[in-house]
Amino acid sequence: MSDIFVENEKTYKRRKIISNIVTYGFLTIVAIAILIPFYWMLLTSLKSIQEIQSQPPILWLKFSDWKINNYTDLFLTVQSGERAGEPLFPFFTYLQNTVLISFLTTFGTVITTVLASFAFARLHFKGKETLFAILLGTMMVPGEIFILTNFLTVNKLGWYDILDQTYLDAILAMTIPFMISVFYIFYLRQTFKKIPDELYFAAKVDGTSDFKYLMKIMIPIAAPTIITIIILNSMGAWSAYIWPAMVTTQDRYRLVSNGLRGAFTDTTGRTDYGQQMAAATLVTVPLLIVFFTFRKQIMRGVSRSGIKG
Amino acid sequence: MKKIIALLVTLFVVFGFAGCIDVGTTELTTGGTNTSQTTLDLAAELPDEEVEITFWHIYGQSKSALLDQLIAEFEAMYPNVTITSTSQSDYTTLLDKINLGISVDQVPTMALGYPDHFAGYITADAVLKLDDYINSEVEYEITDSTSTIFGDTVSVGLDLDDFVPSYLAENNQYEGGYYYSVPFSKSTEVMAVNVDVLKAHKTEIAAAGITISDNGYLSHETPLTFDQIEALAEIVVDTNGTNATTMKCEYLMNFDSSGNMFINMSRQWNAPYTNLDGDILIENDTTESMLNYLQDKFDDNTVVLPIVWEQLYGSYNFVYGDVCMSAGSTAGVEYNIPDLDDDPTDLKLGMFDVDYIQIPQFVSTEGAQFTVDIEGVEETFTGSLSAVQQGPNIGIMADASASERLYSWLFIKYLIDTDSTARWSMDTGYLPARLSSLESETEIELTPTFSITFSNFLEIAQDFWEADGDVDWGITDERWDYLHSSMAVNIAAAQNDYYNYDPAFPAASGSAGSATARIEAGYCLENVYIGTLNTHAAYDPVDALDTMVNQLIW
Repeated sequence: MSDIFVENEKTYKRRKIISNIVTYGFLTIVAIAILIPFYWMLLTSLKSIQEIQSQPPILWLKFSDWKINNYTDLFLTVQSGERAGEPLFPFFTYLQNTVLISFLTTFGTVITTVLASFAFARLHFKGKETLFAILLGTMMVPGEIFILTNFLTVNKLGWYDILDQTYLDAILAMTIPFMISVFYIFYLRQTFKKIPDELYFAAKVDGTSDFKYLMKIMIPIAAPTIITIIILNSMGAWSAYIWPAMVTTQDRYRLVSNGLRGAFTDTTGRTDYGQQMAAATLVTVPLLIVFFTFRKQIMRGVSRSGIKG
Repeated sequence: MKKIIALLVTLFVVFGFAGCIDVGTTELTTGGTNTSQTTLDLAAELPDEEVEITFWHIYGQSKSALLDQLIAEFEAMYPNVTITSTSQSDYTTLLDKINLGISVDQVPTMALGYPDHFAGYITADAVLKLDDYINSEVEYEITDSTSTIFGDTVSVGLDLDDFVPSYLAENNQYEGGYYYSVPFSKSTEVMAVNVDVLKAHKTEIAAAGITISDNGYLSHETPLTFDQIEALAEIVVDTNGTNATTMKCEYLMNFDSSGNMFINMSRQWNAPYTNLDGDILIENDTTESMLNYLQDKFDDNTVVLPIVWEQLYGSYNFVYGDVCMSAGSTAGVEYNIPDLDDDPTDLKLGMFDVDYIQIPQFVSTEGAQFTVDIEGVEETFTGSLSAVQQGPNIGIMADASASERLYSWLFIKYLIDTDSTARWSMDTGYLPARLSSLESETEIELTPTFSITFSNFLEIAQDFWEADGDVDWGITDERWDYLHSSMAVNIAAAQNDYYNYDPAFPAASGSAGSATARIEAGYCLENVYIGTLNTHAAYDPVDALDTMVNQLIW
C-alpha cells in the first residue's frame, strides 16, 4: 500500500516537474520574444553605422566598443544661425510636450468617460439605447476619416493658424479632439452596470444625489477599470504621431514621436539608426519609471481588462 | 422590433455621416481662389509694409543651419520682411498638411515639394504661376537705409538660360507650359567604382576596348555603354563569390533605387512609361524586352539590386567588396567609401580607392541604334541618353497677398542665386541648379580652417584625375575630405545634357500618382530580380508588369 503511495507521489512529482518545465520554458520564450526588440534598440543605440549594417548582425558588443557618442550627440547644441545655442535634438522640449499632452488628454477622457458611462448605465432618459447605439456605431468609422473633420473643427476654433499659432492653441488642438472615447464609455458603462441597483436605491433613500453616488460609490468600485482606461489612454497619447504632426505649425510644439521620426534622416533618406535608437531609448526611460512605480495597478488593470496596448 | 429599428437608424446615421466626408477628392478639389492664373500687376515701388512669410520644408536640424543663415541675410536685405521657416519632418507630412490646409485657407506662403505635389496643388488651384515674375522687367531701388543692400537695384526677372535645361523642363511640364515652381535642391545618380579591382585587370579591360588609365581610372567624360558593361562583367565578376586573390567581385553593378533604374532605363530604351494625364503605358513590347534583357543581366550577376543583401542601399556591400560598381544618389557619396571604422573582416577586398563615373548608357549618341541579345535572339532598338534627376523644387502658394508673393519670389531668387546655390550645394551635397554656380568665385567656409570657391571645389577632382590619382597632397590636406563629393559633382555636371524626369501627376480616383508609379516600378524590377533567384513563374517579366499595372489602376 505504501509502495503505491510512493509510486503515486513519484509520478505526481515527475508530472509536476515536466509541467513546470513546459510552463516556464514557454514563458521564457515569450519573455525573450518581448525583450528582444528592447535589447535590439539598446544594442543599436551603442553601435557605429558600420556595426549596424554589418552582416551577419552583431549580437553582442563589448563595453569598450560601445559608441556612447550616439547619446552624447543628442545633447549637442546648434553652433550658428537663428537657433544658435539650442539643442540639436530638442529632447526635453518634446518630452515636456508629450507628458503634458498625455496628462491633459487622459484627464479629459476620464472625466467625459465617467460622466457619459454613468448616464448610460444609471440614468433613465428617452432614446438612451438608440443614442448609445449611435455612439457605438461611430466606432465603425475608421479613425483616419476623423482627421479631416477634426482638422476642420480645430481650424474653425482658431487653434490652427499658420501665422499665429500659440503654444496654448497647439495644446488645445492636440488634446480636445481626443478627450472623448466611445470605446472607453462602453467599457466603463459595462462595469457600472454590474453594480447592483440596490446600492443606488439605498443611497437614494439616504438622500444622496446622483453626483455624490457616482463619486462615493461607483468610482471607487470601478477604480480598476478607470485605471486601465488611464493607462491605455496615456499610452495612446504618448505614441500619437499623425495628429500632432498635422495640427502643429512649429517644431517646438511637437511630440517625441514626431522628433524621433524626422530628426535623424539625411537628404538621401538614410536614417542614422544609432542616434535614433539612442533617442528612442531615452524616451523609453520615463515610461519604464512609470511602469515600475505603478506596476501593481497596471498589472491589476491589464489583467482585469484582458487588454493591453 | 424596436432594437432592429434602432440598429437600422444607427447604421443609417453613421454611414450617412461617413458618406458626407469625401476624403479621396479633398486634396484635389477643395479651396481655390482662382488666383493662380491671374496676371501679376507689380507695384511701382517695393512695398514697405510689414510682411510675414511662412516657408515649409523638410530639412532637419543639420540642414536648416545654412537655411537659417540665408533667411537672416534676406531679412537684413529687406528689414520689413520676416520669414518663419518650419520643417514638417518629411514630404508625406508636408504634402498632407498643405492638402488639408488648402480646404481651410491655412497654407504656408511658400513650400518645397516634388513635381507631383505641385501637380496636385495646380489641380486645386492653390499654387501661383511664376511666369510673370520670371519674365518681368521690373526693377526696384532699395530705399530703406537700414537694408544691407541700400541703394542697390533689384530685378524681379529670372535668367532662365543660367539653369540646367532639364531642371527647368521639370518645372514647366504642367498644362500650358507654365512654371509653378523653380528648381532648388537637385541631385542625380552617379556610379561608384572600385578602382583597385579595375587596376588589377587593366590589361584585359583595355583589350576589351574600354578606356582605362594606368591606375585603373575609367573615362569621366564618356559614359560606359552596356556592351562595355557586359565585357567588364566577364573580366571582373566571379559568380562563386568575391575573391581577394583574383580581385574579382561577386556582382558587377548595383543600383540603389530600383524605381529609378526602371524609369531611367525605359527612357534609354525609348519605352513608354507614363504621361502627364496619368496613363500607365508600361504594357508594351519594348518594356517587356527591356525587362527580359535585365533578367539575363540579373542572372549572370552583371546587375544586382540591394534586396539580395536584404538592404535598402547597396553602398555597404560595395564597401565590403560584394559588388564592383554601385549607382546611387550624389547626396550619398560618402557611404561608398571604405573607412577605418569598418571591421577589416567585412572588407573582402580590403581598403580600396573609389572613383565616380557616369551612369552607363545603351548608346553613345542620342537616337543611335543598339542591339542586345535577349534569350538568344538579337533585337535592335533606338536608344536615348538618360540619367535621373531628382530632388525638390520650390513654389509660392496662391493664397498669399501681393506683397507676400513678391517678397516670397525675391526670397526664392535669393535662395537660388549663383552664390547661395553654390553654398547650398557645398553644404548639403545637392547639385547646383544654376550653371553659373559651377564658376562661382565666392569663398565658402567649409570648416573653420578650410574655405574654397565652388570652381576650386570642382578642381579638387579634376586635379586628382589629371594626376591619375598620384597627387602630392599631404596627409592632412583637407582636399582629401572633399575629393569624392567633388568627383560626384563633376560627374553630375557631365550628365547635365541628358538628365530626365518622369511626368508628374497627382493621385486621383481611379489612378495612382506619379510617386506611387515610381514605387511600383521599383517593386516590378525587384519581382523580376526575385524571379531570377527562385524561378517562380509568377515573377517573370510579363507577370511583374501585370502586377504593376494592377497595383496602379485597380
